[in-house]
Amino acid sequence: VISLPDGEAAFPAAAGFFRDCGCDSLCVVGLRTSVNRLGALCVGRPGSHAFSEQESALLSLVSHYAALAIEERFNFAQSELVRAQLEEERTKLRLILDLNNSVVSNLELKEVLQAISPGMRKAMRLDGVALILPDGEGRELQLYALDFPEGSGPTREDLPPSLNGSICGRVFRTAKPWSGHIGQLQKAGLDYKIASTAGVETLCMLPLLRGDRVLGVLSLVRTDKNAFTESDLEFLSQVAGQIAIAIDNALAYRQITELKDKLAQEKLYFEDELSSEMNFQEIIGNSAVLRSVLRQVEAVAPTGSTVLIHGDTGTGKELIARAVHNLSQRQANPFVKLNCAAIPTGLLESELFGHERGAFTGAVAQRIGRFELASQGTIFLDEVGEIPLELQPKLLRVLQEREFERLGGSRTLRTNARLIAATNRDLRTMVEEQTFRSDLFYRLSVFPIHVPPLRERTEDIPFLVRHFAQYFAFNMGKRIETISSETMNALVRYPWPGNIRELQNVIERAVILSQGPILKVPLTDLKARGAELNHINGNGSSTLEEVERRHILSILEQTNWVFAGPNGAAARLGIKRPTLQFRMQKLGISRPQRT
Amino acid sequence: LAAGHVEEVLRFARKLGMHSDPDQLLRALPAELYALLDCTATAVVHLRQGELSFHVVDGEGCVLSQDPSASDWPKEIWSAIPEEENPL
Repeated sequence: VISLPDGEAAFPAAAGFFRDCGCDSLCVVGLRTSVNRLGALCVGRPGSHAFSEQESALLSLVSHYAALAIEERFNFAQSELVRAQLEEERTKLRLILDLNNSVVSNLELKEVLQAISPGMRKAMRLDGVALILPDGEGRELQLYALDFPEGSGPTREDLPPSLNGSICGRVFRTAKPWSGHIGQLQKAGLDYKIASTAGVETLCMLPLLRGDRVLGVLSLVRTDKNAFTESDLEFLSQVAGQIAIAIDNALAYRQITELKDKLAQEKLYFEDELSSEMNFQEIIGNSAVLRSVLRQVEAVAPTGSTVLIHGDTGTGKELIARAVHNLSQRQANPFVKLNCAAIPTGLLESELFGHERGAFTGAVAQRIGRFELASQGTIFLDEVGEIPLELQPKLLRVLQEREFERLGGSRTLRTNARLIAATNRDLRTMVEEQTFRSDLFYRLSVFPIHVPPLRERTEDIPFLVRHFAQYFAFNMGKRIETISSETMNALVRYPWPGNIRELQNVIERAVILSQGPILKVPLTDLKARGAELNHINGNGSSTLEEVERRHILSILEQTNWVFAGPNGAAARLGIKRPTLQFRMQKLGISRPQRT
Repeated sequence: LAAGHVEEVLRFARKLGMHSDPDQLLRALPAELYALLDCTATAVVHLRQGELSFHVVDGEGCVLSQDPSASDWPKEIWSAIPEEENPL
């Protein structure tokens, strides 16, 4: 108990303060528990010596109660604080556990983010979480997945952040995290408009690191100005580390899936090829026109240029395409062919470029297209004139930009497949009729090769007949040794509107029918068909040159290829022998070799 | 203690029990002391994490001063509190 006038020397400040409050006496008791000294209670009154012993004792007693109450409250508050911290730690650990579970159970990255994002937003008081990944070639960043339920403005997943002008790009390039307010972006001259219009105030960007590789950026945003603390960053870095593992797994999974799909497609394709084609790798013949074609093949093969092969049906356009591929540096890579006329129009785009799962009804799985299949190799588009007009711009884009997207997909893929196209239609006329795009036509016809019909290379017919006869005989376990000259002459004279394919089928049939070592060709059928064709052609569709050629061939056959003499072909044609020989050379008529 | 004081101490203890927040309790303590004893001014000085704080009310329950830098008197009071549990 202090009498203030007396205590002024010992407690000048306290005496002054309480005297200003109208007190002359002050009773002070300590606030203490058995272990702690907490403070003091002070009671002031007017008049000196104003506190009795009893009042001092009362104040001492209540000070004990007060001290206990204060300490208990502080202990409780402290324990509550610790409990909240433990709860927060537990939430974070649970989040990490959930994240780990998601990482090991989900190989799809979007599913991982969807699984962990709500918990992360709640635990870290976030408003949005986004995953930003580079595209396939690392040239651009893409907003891969976004969870921003309250976000406003352009918060869409298809917004590409710039690699250079954005904070995402900087974090991605430098592999260093960044956190701060949106105003700091503005000051640093970085792109902030998208975040600003989305209502973002505070951002945290963390690099997704796996070893020394930066796989992407984890973007965390708040719409208030609560900055990210060191503790937040420490925890979020752990989250980013787990997400980086998930990305690595997902990328590996995607790569494996794509390779698996590609292998499955290749297997199907090559099985199909083996079962449907005889795969003649050789081009049979020695005629001048064929040699001219082969010289063109040799010239264009190593260049990698687009080739347009034109020729009638069955002339061997595919063999020419294969020859171009086999003579090129791509020969070790796939030669993928697609007959555009054999695929329904609606499915052609999917066949060419592939499709994503769910792209259309029935697209239950992702499928890679022929352009992907032919990567590093050659794609051969037969009947290219049958490609519908609406699909032609996409084909043109592949030729010009080397880029395409799978049906139903947004990811741009690149291909370096070499294109060889073939058609039996007159594309130039189609362009004039506006059924084929002129720009695509000019792009395709960089190096046109015309494959002549069989009737223009009759000197190759005996070679082809022998080749097919031996081939089918071997396959059927037969022995064919000779072909009569009469049969060969008939085969040479026949105009072969179906070209080599027709010849091949005729010989296959002949081998089946042949019982002995001599090839028996059903000439009756052939002659009937020839007469029919002559009749058709005679009714107006033949050129003068063709009529002349057929007539000379007919006379030569009747004279058994005897030129001179009164009954020779020259006399029957009413011309001199040198003239006949000159006409034969000009029309590509040569005497068939005797078998 | 006088018989009346026992009742007052019990009432004081019950009043303290109504404040669950420690800061609220510290702010309420001078007024509760005022209700217990007939006085002109009551004060609580408290040390928390090395910092002294105080709450003072006058005879009408008005807060007199809250600025710890305004005066050195809380330090004087704190330094005068002996280790032993005896009133000054």
